[in-house]
Amino acid sequence: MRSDLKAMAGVRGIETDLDEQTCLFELDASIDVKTMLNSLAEKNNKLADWEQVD
Amino acid sequence: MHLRKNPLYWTLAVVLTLPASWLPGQTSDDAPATNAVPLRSAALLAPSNSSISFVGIHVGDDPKPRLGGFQNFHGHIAVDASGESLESIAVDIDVESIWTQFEKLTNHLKNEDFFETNRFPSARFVSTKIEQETSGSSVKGWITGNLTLHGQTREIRFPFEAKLGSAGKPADGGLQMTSQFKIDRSEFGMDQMLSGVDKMVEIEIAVGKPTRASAAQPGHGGGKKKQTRQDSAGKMQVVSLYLPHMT
Repeated sequence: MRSDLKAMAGVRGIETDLDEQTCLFELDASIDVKTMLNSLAEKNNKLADWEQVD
Repeated sequence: MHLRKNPLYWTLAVVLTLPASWLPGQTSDDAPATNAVPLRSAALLAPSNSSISFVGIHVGDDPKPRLGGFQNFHGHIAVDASGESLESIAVDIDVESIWTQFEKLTNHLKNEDFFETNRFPSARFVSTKIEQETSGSSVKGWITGNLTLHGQTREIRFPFEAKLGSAGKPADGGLQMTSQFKIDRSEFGMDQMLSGVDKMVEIEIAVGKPTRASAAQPGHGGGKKKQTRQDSAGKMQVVSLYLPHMT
């Protein structure tokens, strides 16, 4: 999962917290996060059902 | 801001956004009422028009930057009568209103390892000197002042850039100001966990333009949470995900 994100252009500062099952990263503002994550989730089930929580 | 560039680095990003509310210029008692001279104007700083946030980085190979901020604060930026330079800045912060992306971290920062909010519930910055150069409606320079944090007051000095309007009017409906600098938290008696969290803190100030999205709002934390914000340059967004299948 981390490597998938790392391979994406415009992504930096990836950090994960296994205990809290969270992942934090910085993303170029021009990139649509939903499109990107949905695309990645198709290839990696660890990203499936990802959720951004307000 | 390259949050992960230096693992021995704590970043505290303070972000103030301010569609400034401008107080009417005060008038001289000696001046004729029909020719009142504005002595100064002030932009008010409050959560309604400003925000304060920070990012902390751990010591080690994986600095794990953490975003946070303060929910409650108030203050002002005074501008001279000509509207061409800053006169002073003062901000009071309710440290108890601290928030981070993670509830556990928020609680940790409140305890005796860091802010010790039960003993020191507030922080304050009051400027004592502002060195600046004005070019048109733009101003840049250095602000010197006393920062009271964790019950200890130290003089700090930091650079700033601001955009002001003409004739005492705010530019584009609001004062704009940015600044980025570092302080040493251990100088304020916050000298615990230095092996885990670097003592140096970088502060970022941005006044007068929205710099954060909803993630900047307080109250986030705990298990499922998301943070999405844009950095002060508006070029990056910070995304925090809950991944139920992560493990």
